[in-house]
Amino acid sequence: MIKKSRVEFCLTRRQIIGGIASIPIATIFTPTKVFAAPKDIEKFIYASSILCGIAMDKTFVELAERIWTILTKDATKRDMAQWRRLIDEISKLPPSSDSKRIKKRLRYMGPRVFEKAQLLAKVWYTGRIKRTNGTPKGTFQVIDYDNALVWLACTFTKPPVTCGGHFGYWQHPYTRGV
Amino acid sequence: MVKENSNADIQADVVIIGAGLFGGLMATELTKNGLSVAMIDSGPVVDRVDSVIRFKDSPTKNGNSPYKKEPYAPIPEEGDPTDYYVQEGKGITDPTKRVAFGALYLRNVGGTSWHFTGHAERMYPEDFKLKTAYGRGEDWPIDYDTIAPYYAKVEQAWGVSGNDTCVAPNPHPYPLPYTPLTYLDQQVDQAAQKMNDSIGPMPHCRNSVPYDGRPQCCGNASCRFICPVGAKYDGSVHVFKAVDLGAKLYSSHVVHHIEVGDDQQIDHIQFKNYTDPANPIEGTARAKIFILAAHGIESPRLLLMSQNKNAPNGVANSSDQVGRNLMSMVGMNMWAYAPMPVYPYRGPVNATGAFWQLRNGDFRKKFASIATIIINGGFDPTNGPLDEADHAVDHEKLFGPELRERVYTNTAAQVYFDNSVEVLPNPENRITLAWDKLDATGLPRPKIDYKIDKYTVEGVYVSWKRGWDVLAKMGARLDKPNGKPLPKPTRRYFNKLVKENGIESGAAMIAGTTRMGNDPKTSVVTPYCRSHDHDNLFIVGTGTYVTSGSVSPSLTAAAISLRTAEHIVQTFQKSEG
Repeated sequence: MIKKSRVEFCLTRRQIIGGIASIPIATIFTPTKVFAAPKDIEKFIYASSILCGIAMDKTFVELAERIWTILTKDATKRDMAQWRRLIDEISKLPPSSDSKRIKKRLRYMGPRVFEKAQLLAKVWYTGRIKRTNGTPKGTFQVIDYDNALVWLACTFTKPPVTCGGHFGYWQHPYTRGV
Repeated sequence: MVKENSNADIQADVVIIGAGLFGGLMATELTKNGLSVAMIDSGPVVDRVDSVIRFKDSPTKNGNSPYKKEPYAPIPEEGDPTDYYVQEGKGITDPTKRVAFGALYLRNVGGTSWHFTGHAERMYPEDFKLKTAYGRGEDWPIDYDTIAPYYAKVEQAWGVSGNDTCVAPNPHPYPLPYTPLTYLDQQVDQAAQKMNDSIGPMPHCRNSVPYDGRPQCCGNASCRFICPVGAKYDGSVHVFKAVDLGAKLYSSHVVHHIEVGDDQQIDHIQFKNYTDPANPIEGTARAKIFILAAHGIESPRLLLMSQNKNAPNGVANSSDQVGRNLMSMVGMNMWAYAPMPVYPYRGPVNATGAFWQLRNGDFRKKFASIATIIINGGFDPTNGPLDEADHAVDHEKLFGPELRERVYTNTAAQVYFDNSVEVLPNPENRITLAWDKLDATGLPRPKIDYKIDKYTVEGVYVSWKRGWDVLAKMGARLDKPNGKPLPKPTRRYFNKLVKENGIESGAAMIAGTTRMGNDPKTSVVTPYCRSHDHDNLFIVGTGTYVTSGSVSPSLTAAAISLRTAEHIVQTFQKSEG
């Protein structure tokens, strides 16, 4: 008789990502259209991982490109410099950095960079960005709903319109923590 | 492959206006019995895959998001229903003077059922005799026993899942095994039991086992918006069953006029075919029998628009009752954070569980019936976790592992109750035509007047208080799992909220606008849904309701439609010899 829960046997994107995460990061990145050098992609994804508290790897390259493109669209020289400084500085932090340590580093860089860090974390988590112009102003542009990090953070669920498993799985408590 | 027709002129034994939940079911029955049937719908055929993609790309991800918006078939928007509904008195918060009307519907093949909850409970026997049982509202001209055999037929047709523990009247066998409560429901149940209440499962028309060529539900948690696999029943199922049996389907055909002849029979209807939206083609449909199945707003709108010399007050409207007695449940919902993870966002996203108490009983002499369900989709079934992330970053300034943990902890603790409170019939609650505010095709938009009485306001208060009391028993908090305590649900606090915000109508029900009755002076259709004024016109759907109760409305209207179809077959066969 099988006593393990469904979760034990379910190979999810999260678990695949967890496996890939153990591969040395420098060996899996290659240049792309948006990032000229592998180390740029590496830095951006690593800094994003630190800010978000979720390890990201090569499977996020395409999304990273889209996010970077949207964030830096129409950016001034000053903005670009701030973005680059943010990525450079945060990527110097160790993987285990907590919120306090991250904030300490951000405050050192000033309020504009702090705001950019918040924006970056929100865009990764939500897969959406608030429209700042055009119509309808104030609403969101969806970048990637299914791959928003909230679905990796909330391990007990998954994006809607995605099969959740066998019928009635919802009657049982979720058996793994964050 | 979808079999469709786009002829300029249409002829059939029966023409059905509205290829939705009731039109499709009736078309199947009529076609099975040898009648030629044409279904005409103002909207397009829904492509499920395209709709899922549209939903994912939508920032709001609400009930309308999956569906293509066609300017020739406008609908109220979930965010701002007044972009279609015309409603005066903005700013008035006294609900006995004005309630913001926000009930939603779709105009496409399959209709509003594409985004309905999929709850399929029967009405209580007392719902059909509210006046006799509780001295409130009015009695229907039919009773529960009349409808019961048709309930059973619809439950078979839809594949309703349930068992004797379901929150529904009159235990009876359901064709499919029940849909289990979520873990969240079970946690709420523990608190409810401390207050002599309890949570039970709902009957659903979503497949608990594979049924009728449709798959089993696998908890996509999006069924309030769109079921990506078709496990939830929707009206298109029987529309296409009818097509397979030989019925004709004309989509994107907007009927804009019903012509009454000198003999008071419906002579023909006129439509515009928007298959090519840039070049609409005017057309005519003729039939021996016409069925209007365009739901509680579009049906009366079309009847009122169709004034002509033989129907100067609008079609089927000698009683002046068309559009009146509009009913849509109202309520104040509540939400809070449980002190422990309850794991929402899993399973059928609208609700699997409901409160047993206050749905039916002697309390209805004093206040309105209440249906409270536990929403499995937290504070926002599609964007709730995203909003938690925004809040954690913006307001708590969290990053790193603390951000991840906060998003998990808060999202896993969300509890949301949806209260739907019955509204009694009132002839002043009505839809009329805003001739000064036209839609994109030049037709008048629906103007809505809506308010509630003290009987319903009291029901809203009782449901609101019960919700807060149960949340308090759970140890829930206002802003996070270990955050601020809940406010005390006092009458004074309730009155303050009503004064500040008013009470809004829910999205789920539109009923009463073409009510049934035995008296042609006070009703629009007979108990068989035949127009009192025009023998060859039947009007079906929730518009025929005399009172609404608080149960999900669709199953009853489907049962009544099936009864009407049977009646049409019998009378048609007699008249044809």
